[in-house]
Amino acid sequence: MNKVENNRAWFLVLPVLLLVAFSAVIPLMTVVNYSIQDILDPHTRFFVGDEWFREMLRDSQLQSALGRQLIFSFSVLAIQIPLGIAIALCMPTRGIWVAISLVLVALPLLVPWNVVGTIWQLFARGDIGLLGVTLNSIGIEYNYTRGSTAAWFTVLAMDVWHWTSLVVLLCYSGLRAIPDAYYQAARIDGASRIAVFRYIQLPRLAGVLTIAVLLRFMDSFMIYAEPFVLTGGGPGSSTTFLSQHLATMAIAQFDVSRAAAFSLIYFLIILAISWVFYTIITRATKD
Amino acid sequence: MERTKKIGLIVYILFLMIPIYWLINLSLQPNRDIMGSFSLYPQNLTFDNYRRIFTEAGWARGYLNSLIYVLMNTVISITVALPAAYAFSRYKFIGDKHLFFWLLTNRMAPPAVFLLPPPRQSASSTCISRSRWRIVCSRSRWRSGFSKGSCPACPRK
Repeated sequence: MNKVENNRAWFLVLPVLLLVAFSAVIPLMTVVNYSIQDILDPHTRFFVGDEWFREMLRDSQLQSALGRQLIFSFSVLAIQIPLGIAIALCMPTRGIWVAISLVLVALPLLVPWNVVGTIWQLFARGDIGLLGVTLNSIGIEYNYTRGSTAAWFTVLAMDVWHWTSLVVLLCYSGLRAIPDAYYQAARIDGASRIAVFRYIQLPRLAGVLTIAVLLRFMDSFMIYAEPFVLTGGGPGSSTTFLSQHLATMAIAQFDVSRAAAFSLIYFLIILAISWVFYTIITRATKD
Repeated sequence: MERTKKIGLIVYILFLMIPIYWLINLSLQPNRDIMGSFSLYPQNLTFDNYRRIFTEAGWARGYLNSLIYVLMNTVISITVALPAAYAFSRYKFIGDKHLFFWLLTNRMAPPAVFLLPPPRQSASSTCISRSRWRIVCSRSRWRSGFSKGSCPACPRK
């Protein structure tokens, strides 16, 4: 994509810059402020330096929540990105079915997050849910409130249900943007389908895939509402991910300073991993 | 080949639709039926559940709050994020890459981080309009990150 060089474009970016500065930097600095103090009540507080950070990094609950979070996010990527590309390749390219299948595929994206949790909670229940009843009747013991494997399967299936369509839509728009001349050239060369995919479609999808991977990674790393509604983090703490752990600390236990230190660590982890992804993928597309 | 594609797509769409169908199926049955017997379609069709959510008092305020929030959010997102998305996809300017990544980082901050209440307000959070603004702000941060993300994917005219 050839872009025009023009520094006056800064004026177009200025509003979003101001809004973000106001709505993100100020709250973030509040969090930083909390994280280095011990707050007993609004009037009694002590400066404690990096004590909370040390304590949080050593915290075994946080470490296991982080481990679960990483497994979850990488499984989400490993399932949704290939599946999304495959479905995008299956989508019709012309005719009335384009609009129909686009609408049907996009439908889960329109469902509010806590409703997604509710849908799957009902759908997977062993007594009244279609999935639960079906699995139990063919002899598979399935109860997501008791077995942690079942809980993991349900949370993953729910996320695949909710978000694969985003990858599909991004890839579909990327595929549609490939000029016909590429395919004609491939046909003249007698290229196989796999070669067409490997040397034409996949490279041309690199841009949208960067965005898809980043969005899916960040969102799955911050997942909160869906597992909260579906499993409540259980059984035990087998599906308690970082956000839920943080929310329990900040709201239920009202442990503001610890939660603030945890928030910053959490944010830095996402930032670091996303930066690595971003750099690797933008480098790879340049070559 | 065309046939495998079609089957793949149909299987995927079925996977998407069945949970939604199940939700609709349950919504059209009285509680007694749901707990009493398992059936693939409503045996005693009833719209009572819908009548209740549109007439019971507690829900009205919720609808209103959602509407206000959506309106504020849409106005902010469109006026603020659209010009920025346009600038990023059409122009090259000093620091554009860094700015883009910085804006993207705001999309990365977990919403739970912003749950932390300011200590003064925490005891009595009566200030409704302020809390509404807080929700809108934190959401529009999210939105603006997203619309920028999707814009480079749309083809240039």
